Order: sequence, then C-alpha cells, then structure tokens
Amino acid sequence: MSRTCFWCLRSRGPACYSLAFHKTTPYIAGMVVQPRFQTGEQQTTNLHTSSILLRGLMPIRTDNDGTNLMKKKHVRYSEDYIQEKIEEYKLGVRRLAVMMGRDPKTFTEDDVKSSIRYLFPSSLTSVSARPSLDHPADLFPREIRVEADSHGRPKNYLFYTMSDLFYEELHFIYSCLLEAQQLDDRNYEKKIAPETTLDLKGSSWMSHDEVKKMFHNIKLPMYNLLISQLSRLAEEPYAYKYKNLIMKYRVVFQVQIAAKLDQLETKVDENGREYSEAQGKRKTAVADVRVYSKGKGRITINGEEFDEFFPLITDRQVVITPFNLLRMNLFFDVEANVRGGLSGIWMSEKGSSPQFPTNPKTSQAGAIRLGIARALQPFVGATNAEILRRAGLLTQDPRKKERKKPGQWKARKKFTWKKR
Amino acid sequence: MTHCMKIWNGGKTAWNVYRSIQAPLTKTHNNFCTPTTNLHISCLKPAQSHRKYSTAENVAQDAKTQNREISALELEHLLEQPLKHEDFFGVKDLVTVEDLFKARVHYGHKLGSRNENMKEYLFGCRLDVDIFDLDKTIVHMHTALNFLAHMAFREAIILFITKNPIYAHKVETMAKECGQYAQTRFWHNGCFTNTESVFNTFTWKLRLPDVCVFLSLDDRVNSQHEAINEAAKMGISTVGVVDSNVNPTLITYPIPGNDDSIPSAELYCRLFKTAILRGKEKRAEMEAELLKENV
Repeated sequence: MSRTCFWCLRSRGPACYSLAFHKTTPYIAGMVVQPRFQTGEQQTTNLHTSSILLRGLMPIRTDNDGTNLMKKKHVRYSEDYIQEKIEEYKLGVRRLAVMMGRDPKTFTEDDVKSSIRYLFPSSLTSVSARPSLDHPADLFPREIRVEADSHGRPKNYLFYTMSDLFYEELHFIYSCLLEAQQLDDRNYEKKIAPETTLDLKGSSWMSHDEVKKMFHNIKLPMYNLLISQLSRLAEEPYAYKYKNLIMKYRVVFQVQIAAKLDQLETKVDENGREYSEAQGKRKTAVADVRVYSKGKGRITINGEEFDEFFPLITDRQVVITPFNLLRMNLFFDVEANVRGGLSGIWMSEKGSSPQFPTNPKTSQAGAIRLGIARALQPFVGATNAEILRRAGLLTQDPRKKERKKPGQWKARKKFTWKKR
Repeated sequence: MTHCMKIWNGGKTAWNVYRSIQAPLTKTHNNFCTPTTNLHISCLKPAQSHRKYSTAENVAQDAKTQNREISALELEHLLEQPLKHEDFFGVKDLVTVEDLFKARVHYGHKLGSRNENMKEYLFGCRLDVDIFDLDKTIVHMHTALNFLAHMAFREAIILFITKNPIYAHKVETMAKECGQYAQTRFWHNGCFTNTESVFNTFTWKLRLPDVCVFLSLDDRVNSQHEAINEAAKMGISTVGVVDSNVNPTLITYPIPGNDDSIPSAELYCRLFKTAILRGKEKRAEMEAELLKENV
C-alpha cells in the first residue's frame, strides 16, 4: 500500500483536502516535510488541520508548527531555540527507532535516513524538498567560534581571514621552509652535508575530505595550497627536521602481500643438498624443476647445459628472469626436466647458423621459468615472493594454441574475400 | 586626525559585544555558545567606564590583574594628553630621508602605468621609471606613523593588509609581534560591509578593525584591493603605501613610495611595528602612573 496521499501526491502535504489520510500518518518530532524555510521561535502545536479549515480553500505554505513560511527570511536563532530543536530531534530519532523495531542505541544516521525514506516515500525530484529528519546543526547556520577579550579584540591575529587556524598552519609551514633554506645555505658554505633524508615512500598526501575534518570549511584551492606548500618543504634537503609536520598530513598505507606461499617445503638430496621442487607449464610444455639452495648459478636441463639447450638468447633471458629480479643469479643451482612443447617440429636446422640459431624452445623456457619462480618461494621470503608475484612470474600463462576453424585456413586467417 | 578619532569613538557602544566559546570543534555538533556566556546586547547596561563591560567573567578577570578600575573621567583625561603634543611618541626620530633612499622607497613603476593622481608625489621620471619625491614622502610617513601610534595608544584594532606574496609572511609575523592583525590571504567580499552574512554573526556583533594599513593597494589582478572600498564605506581609517600605479584618493593617510621591493617592505614593517609598540607602551605607562597616584 503506497504512502502517498491521492490529492497532494506527497507524504504529508500542507494545503491538502484529504484530511483523513493526513490525520493517520505518523508525526515524528522534529521532522520537516515541506521545503525547509527558516522559522523563528514558535510553540510546537499542531494547528495544521485547523488552519486549513479557518483559512478556507486558500493554500498557504506553512510549517508543521503553523507559521507562515513566506513571511520571514533572515531570522536569528537563539541558543535556547536551537537546544530545544536538538532535544526534539533526539526524541524523534528514538521514537523512529522504536517504530522500526530497532534498538535506539544502535540507530545510526544512515538508518534514520533509510527509515524516513521507507515511511515517507517521495517522488519529488528536488532532494531538499523530500521528507527528512536532520540534526539541527545541519539545518541551522553554524555560527563561528570567536574567542575575544573583554574589549572585543579577537584572540587570533588572523581572525579577519575567516580561516584563522588554517592560515596559521600555512604560516608555520612557510616559516619552516625559510628555516630549512637558511640552514641549507649555511651548511653548504661550511661544506656540511645533511645527516639523513626524508623518505616519503609508503605514504600519500591526505585527501581534501580528510583535511576538512582537521580544519572546518576548507575549500579546494586552499587544500591545494596546503599540499603544494608541504610538498615544497618536503623537497628541501633539511626537510627531515620537519618530519612530524609533514607526516601530520600524510596517510601511511601498508603494503599488502597477496602472494600465496604454496611452496613451503624443502627436501634434502641423497648428497645432503637442500632443494625445493616445483612444476611449471606453458602451452604444451611441462617442466619439473629443482632449485638447490646453495649453488653457483648452474642450470642443467634434461642433462644438458643451459647454453646448449637454449641456443636462442631470448629463451635464456626468459629462464633467468626470476633471478634477475631478485638479483640472486649466483646463489642457486637449477636442475630441470622438460618435456612437451612444439619444439620438436622446429628441430630442423635449415637456415640456422651458430650466430643466428633458429630453433626456439620458448614454451619450454616459459615452463621452466614458472617452475623456478614457484620453487624459489621457500628460500626467498614473503616480500621477495611478492616481487615475483607483482612481476607476473607466479601466474601460469593460460594461452593455448587456438583451434583451426572450418571455412578458414587457420584459427584466424580467412580465405580470400571476393565481392562477387 | 580629529575626524578619524570621531569616527572611532562613535562606535563605542556598537562593537563591544562578543561571544566566547569553550568547546572544541567536535562531531557532536556542540559548536554553539552555552547560555552561561550570553552577552547579547540587550543584557548590557550603560557601563561606568567606556572600555569595560561588566559581566561576571570580566570582573573576575580584572580582579586578578588590578585592584581598581580607571574611572570614565580619568580615562577621558588620559586620552586627551597625547593630542596636546605635536609628536607625543617621538615618531620623527624613527626614519630619515636617507633611510628611505637606502630602502629603495623612491622607485616607482614605469611611466606608462602611472596614475594621474600620483603626479603630485613624484619628483620626476628617469629612464621611463617614476621617482618619488622623498621630501614629500617623509612628511606623509611621519603623519601616518604618528596616527598609528595614537591609535595604538587608544587600543585600536589595526589590520595589516597586502596581497603581495613576496613579503606577506613578513607582514603576518610583524602583526603578530605587535599584537595586531593581518589579512594577506583571499579576501571575502563583504567582510566589513556584510559581516552578519560573511561571519555568520546573527546573534552577536563583530568588532571591525579601526585602522587598515595597506602595504600594497593592488590585488595582483590589475585592480584595487576590495578592502579599500569597504573600509571607506564603513568609516574605517586607512593608512597605505601608494605606488605610482595606484589610486590614492580613498586612503586617509597615504605614504607615497615603493610597494614592490623587499627592503622597502622591511622598512615599513619595522616602522609600523615600532610606532605601534611605542603607543602601547605609553598607554600602559600612563595607566600605571594613574593607578599609583590614586592608591
């Protein structure tokens, strides 16, 4: 059953003749249904229905209190009035929670909004005209805090800038910048180098919204100015002296390690050498790889030497990639057995020379690489495994040879297209 | 000088209302004044002395600092004393023509950007650059410094305004050091003329500055600073360093000179600060003497 009145098409219209409907809808304390106009200090009596009868058929825009909203525009709100409204609001929220069958203590602002939307669905396009239950602080204009002495002189010397705390902070940042520059000039002449450097890795500047929480009413150009001043300070060689000031406006993010260390076991050889085993695949090639922990950098594949098995330099580069990334080329030995792949077809050495060999075994190289990357994990640690993962070395390349289709030469190559 | 004094004294009952709030800025929306510190204008009685408004807080504060207040009659007598002398604060010793020359105050802008109203202050034009007559500048400087010292003696709010980023930081530092105010940032139109709306002060009144000191009149966008018009509308006296490319007609105490170079700005800052501090010190001295006599 819809909750909109037939006559005024609203949840609770003012000048509506359908009294029967509006009488039965619940009135929640503090709730404003009409477009919000500023009202003065008024008694909260429900003159709504009677006012319509008295004034006849002329619709007058009124608030729930019955005041004429078109009369007053710029009204001052006294403290007592605002306090009253806050109490009403709190009461209203508690009642609303009870109405919705929820615990008032755990009833959040979002819950308030969604329950009002549920109880008073509105088809109005203007969001500010829809029914709402807002805290008076959001509705009434907020007065700024002024700290002044008995003569009326504001305490803060930047009061007339409208954002005294913010500009005081900017002033301080600029002072630090000047200090850092002077220090740099002095020490440069004396040929003294700065002790450390400021490392801003692992953190980023706070966003506009986060800075707004620190200072009230900071607009985007002011925020940009703050960040540019701080960045300028951070560029100085002696910026490390102002680390606290800079980090105050930085958000530190933690590095997330997502690598699954599935290879955690290491085994021992007949000769007593520790090794780790893993399998790698690429296209149709399958490689069983053993990585020995204490080694010289020797790689043996199917009993053959690395250089002989992979005459093509690109294949060799592919295999060594995990070691290159971690710069651990000479710490491990590798023994691999690889089978499969389409290298068998290219065994003919027609057109190849020692300088330009033409029998690539790229799929086998890729398989071995994956095997090495997997086998390295127990020796190398979580952060290094993360490096391998981010480089894409721990992911199996899922590409396979695409099938040939009928009506075409190959997977993609089509027969010549003839217009006629 | 006297007309400015009248304007300032004319505001004595209007501006001395304020609110002080103790609660910090938190999410509990508790940013409003508490009823205990209500100082609405309707609550005030005509005060015995011009400068203090008696409330529970103020009386408690003053009881700590001194045993008795200065009466209205004594205060009037006190404020009349400096006006009897030509140079009560010894402001003419602060600066000479040579100091101005060394600080490069005599350099104006190019001939093409000259404002016709500045013609009387210029000595001439050399290699297309306007040169100020420092003999005239020194007279204006002495007048302006004297005025500032007198205003500081009368506990005025002095607001330093400039839009030049080269020395804005120095101006702010100087303002803080002499206990006055600075506005070197974005100017919100209506700061003086529309305080209710701009500062959101519907239930209390804001005290506006009594003097605006401009270290540069232009707005960096080839136009005059908005505050000049607003101060003129609100009857706020202005002191200003006028360069050869600006219009000096709305400034009460113009100081014809260079507003663009750092040495001249440093000189102005130093002079303003000294004059203001002298005024303040004299005031404290004379008040202390009065209290001693009567006790």
